[in-house]
Amino acid sequence: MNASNFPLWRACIDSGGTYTSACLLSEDGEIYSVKVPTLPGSPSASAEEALTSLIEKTGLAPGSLCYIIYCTTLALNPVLQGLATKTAILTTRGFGDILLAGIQQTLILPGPTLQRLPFRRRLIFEIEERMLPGGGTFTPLAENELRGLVPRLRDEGIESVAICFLHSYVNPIHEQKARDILAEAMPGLPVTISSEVLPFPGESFRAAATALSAMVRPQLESCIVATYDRIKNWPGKSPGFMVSQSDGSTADVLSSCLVAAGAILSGPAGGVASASLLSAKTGRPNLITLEIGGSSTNISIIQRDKPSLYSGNKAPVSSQAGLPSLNIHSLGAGGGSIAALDANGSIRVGPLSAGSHPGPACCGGSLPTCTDANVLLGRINPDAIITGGPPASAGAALNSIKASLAGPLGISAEEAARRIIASLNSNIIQALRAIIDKNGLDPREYTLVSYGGAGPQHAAEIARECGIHYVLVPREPGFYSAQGALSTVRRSYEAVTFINLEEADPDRIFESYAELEKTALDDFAAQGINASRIIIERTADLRFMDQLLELNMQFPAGRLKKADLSLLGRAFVISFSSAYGFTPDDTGTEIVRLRLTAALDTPNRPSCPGKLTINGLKPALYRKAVFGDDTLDTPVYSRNELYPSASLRGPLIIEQEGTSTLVWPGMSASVDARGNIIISVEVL
Amino acid sequence: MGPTTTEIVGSALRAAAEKAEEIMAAASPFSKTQYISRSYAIFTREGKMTAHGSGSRFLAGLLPLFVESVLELNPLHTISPGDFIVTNDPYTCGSSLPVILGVSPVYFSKRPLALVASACSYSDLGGSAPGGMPAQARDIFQEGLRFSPVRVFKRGIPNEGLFAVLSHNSRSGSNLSKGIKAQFWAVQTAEKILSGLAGKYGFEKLMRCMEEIIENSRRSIADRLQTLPERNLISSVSAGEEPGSGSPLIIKAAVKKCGDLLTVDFTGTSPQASGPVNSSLGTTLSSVYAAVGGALPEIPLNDGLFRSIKVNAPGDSLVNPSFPAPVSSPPVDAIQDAVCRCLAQIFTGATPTGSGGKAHFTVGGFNSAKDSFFCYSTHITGGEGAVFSRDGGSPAYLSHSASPQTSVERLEAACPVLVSKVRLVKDSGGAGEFRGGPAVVWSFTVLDSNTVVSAGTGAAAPPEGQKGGLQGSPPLITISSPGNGESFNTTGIYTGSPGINGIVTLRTAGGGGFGPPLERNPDRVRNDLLEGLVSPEAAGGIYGVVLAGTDLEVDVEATARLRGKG
Repeated sequence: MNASNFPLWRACIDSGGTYTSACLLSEDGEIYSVKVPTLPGSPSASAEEALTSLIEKTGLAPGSLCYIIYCTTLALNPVLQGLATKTAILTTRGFGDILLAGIQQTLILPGPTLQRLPFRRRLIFEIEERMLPGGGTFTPLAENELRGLVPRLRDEGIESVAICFLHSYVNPIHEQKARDILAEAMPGLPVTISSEVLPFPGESFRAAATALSAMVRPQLESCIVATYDRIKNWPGKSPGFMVSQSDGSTADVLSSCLVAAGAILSGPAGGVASASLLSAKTGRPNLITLEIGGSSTNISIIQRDKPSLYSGNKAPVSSQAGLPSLNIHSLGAGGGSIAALDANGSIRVGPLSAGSHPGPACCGGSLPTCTDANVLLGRINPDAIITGGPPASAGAALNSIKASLAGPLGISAEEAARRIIASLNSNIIQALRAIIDKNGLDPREYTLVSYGGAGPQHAAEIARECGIHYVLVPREPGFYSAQGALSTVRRSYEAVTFINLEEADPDRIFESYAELEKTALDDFAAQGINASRIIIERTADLRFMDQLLELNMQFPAGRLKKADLSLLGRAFVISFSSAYGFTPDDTGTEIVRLRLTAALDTPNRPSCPGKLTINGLKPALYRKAVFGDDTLDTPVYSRNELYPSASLRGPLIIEQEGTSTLVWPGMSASVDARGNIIISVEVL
Repeated sequence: MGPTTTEIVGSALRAAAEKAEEIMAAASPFSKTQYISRSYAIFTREGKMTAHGSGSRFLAGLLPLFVESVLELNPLHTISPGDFIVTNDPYTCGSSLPVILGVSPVYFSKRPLALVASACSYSDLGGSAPGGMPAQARDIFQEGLRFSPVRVFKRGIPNEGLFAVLSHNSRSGSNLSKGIKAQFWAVQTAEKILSGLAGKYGFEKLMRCMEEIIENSRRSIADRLQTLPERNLISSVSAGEEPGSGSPLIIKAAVKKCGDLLTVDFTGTSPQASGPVNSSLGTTLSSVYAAVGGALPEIPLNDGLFRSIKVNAPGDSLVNPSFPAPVSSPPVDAIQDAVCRCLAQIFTGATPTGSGGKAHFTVGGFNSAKDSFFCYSTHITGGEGAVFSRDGGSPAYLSHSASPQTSVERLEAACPVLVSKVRLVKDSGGAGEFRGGPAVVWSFTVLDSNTVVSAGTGAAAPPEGQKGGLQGSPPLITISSPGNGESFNTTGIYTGSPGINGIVTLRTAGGGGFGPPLERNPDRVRNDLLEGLVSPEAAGGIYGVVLAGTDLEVDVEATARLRGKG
């Protein structure tokens, strides 16, 4: 049997705080999806359950799953909710305050977002050691002092350790030795070292990246490694297993754990990747993505078909650390966010989420959440909520809201529910407005792409408040991130060079690329993926020698000659001038970095789901739903009864499994050729 | 209910200024080794500031006087597209000599649309010590090269002769010229965005939006001021001592709220000093704007704000010196503090005073192996003053301070020094119901006999507390030269060669506290103790909190008794 004839089914698992989604992509582009509630103590069990049920549903033969992409928000959520691991930070003697006396950063978002790294000064320990700027040793590592620290680490219940020594980016030997010592004395304790996380000068930044990485590593490891182990134990040939990173690329299990912060945004990155493909297909080059899940909301901007990559030091959560990441802003607000009274007697929502265990009150939890409010307001059909057990109960939602909020405030349950939704929306609107303002965007030029289980319920109202005129709801909003992770599978490789373009040797460059390509093909082969399916792209980062402004230029394949390199140099000058409006004089050009991307070609999804039928546009039923101050008899449609170019006037609700789309009075909704719902918000 | 067109234009202008700041930094040769302090702002073609980026607020505050001065000498119709006019002259509009101000017009369809102004701090413009802040300076000539407004680019063509003169007079050599060119080139980025806005909304509409932005600010401030009672307050703050004679220097600020205007009168301030502790008029104005901006944080820095403030800085005084007074170490923090103390009584709410200020140091010298000069300058922010309901922040998170702390690694890679510690100082934050922010201490050893160090502590005296809060710890510079066994302290400025194995220790001031220490929530005192910010002696002796048991839990009764309430 020829390996390349073997059917190439791929899967993605998206482990969220509330739900775990699994998607299967067939050779011809069909996608099958399933969602199960996440078991907090064992996300890997939920992952296995989701994937298994999906395989059964589609009848996929064992051993014909080629690879699995794994993404998760399980590292992001605890950070957003302020529940971080107990992390100790080791640093050079004399520099215990590099995190507090060092970098100054102002984070740009108001509201319930991470404002600073949640570490404690008392858990920073100075160790006798010192490297010099050139990499020489000034003071050797005091190994016994480090060993003497171990009982203290045990007493404090330390769950993770970050090590950042001065100048380790030049000479990592002390950090490596310290890690070995701790590994021996406290086996199983994750130790993250700065020379592996961000090997560049600038100790505060590097320490922050390392501390963040260490903080999220235990959660990340427990779900990635645990899931990987379960799947490895399946009978037959193990599928490849790759972990999605914050910048949309993939990495193997080991590297994901060593630089855990690199995967903090792995879940949301998939959605953004999907959306950037969407922009090209729908003729809407400027998008704002709004993903509202059970526990977190993620916002990002796509301009002229390109998502923005983080750069510089004004940044959202994981990219605060300087690791490659898409520019995604996260906040702790979602469908499962718990509503409670604050000190002033106002209703506040989040950042804590009820997840799926205990879950919203309607699903058996004790505290009221946004989902409960939406059920009470008639916007969500309790039968459509995925519980993995008995169906959700509207009565339980009502009782919980009455007991916790309406009663103490002396208002009706409906009013309390309204305020809960208003509070959630306000958190998100505040963040979105700040992002629009910060980036100098004109909201009228953007379409709000809304996904995640809760996105389509809130998007129209949020768009209206922010001056955005159109909302786009993709076919399966609840699976958008997972499907996105499947659609772009790529790995990035780089070789830092700093060669003067004039003096560069084309043969040496060719060899460097060849090495990178071999590594790429080997890595994919280890995942069971054949070289014939891989598309290689070569680029290089060039800059003028006195500056830091880099441009990424295409690099031709094959053996080059000197003349080709000077052609590249001239192309760089032209691109630079067109991008920045100037060219510096009398300075050479240098190649900073050679980059190689290895991407798996993925089939395109069929443009129109075959299940759409042309039906008379009759709503499935009518239901009383609350819009603002009015309770209206609202038509409820089933999504798979709508066909392209169908056009409806609000108010209305469009339901599908796992989510529902709300269209307000005064708005209209239609369906485009790809099955996306487009809501025209008609901003006043 | 999205943003109005004016609001969209406002945020686009801010984004344009920010983008220019990013490009300038990335295009400048200095960025490879250190952070560059800079600021860009968009002005109307009449010379009124509409929006600025996220760079240094201090530098942004220099720009209004600068643009006004340039337009007086060079009316708009004499400035062509592609012209770049620069100056660093403290006696007209500049700050200290290493700060270079530049302006360039933006045209759209052959009509002048706006002005893009920028201020950037360079590491060396000559003078008797690297970094241009020699403590021994007694005239401006010792501080470096000074030039009044001059075109270094004319219609996009660089004046290479002029650039050569600049390069020859700086220890940074040709890097200085490359940096100034980058300062000009970044304007292109702002220009692109501005042209885009003009194309989209129309030339006239864009001009109207810019005016509206300014008018809105002015109205917000006027409305706010109208609600406050008429007040007339005076405060005097020490600005250290006259170097040499040792006579005390005082900043006296009389702040008057009258209708919808604030006047700040510095009459009574000490006459100009012979040492370099004078504040040029530009620096003085910028410090006042920063102080008022701190009291009204929701108002952006633009002409609307500037028009609401009238400043009188008497000539030949510490706050408006005349030629040839040296100006490289101005008492910025003292000026801000003097004004803030008055403002704190006019505006209710959080006006930070008792700030630990900004200390700074410069390390410079000649590297024979590389055959070039090195010069590395940095600021270190002191403890923030506490305000009602909030402790003073830790230096790492102070949002008003736009220049990031320097990096030990970068400093050591650039200069022959070995840093031994960077730490917060225990018990340095002024005690209070809300504790002042902690001070930071840096200590490094000089490894080369010819390396010159200049340093200044920022705040001259320990920052005072408010409403019963105690003062923050005093700032201090200690230089010890083991070679000749000498060691001395100063709270002012220093320039010298500590010699091989000389140790320089710079400790900023701690922030002042707010409210009586005995009112501080005992749990917060406990947390401070566990975090190592407050000592056990201070916890009991100053805060009156008793902690007991292995976990050091708060003993509620004992604390109440100790505090005289039991």
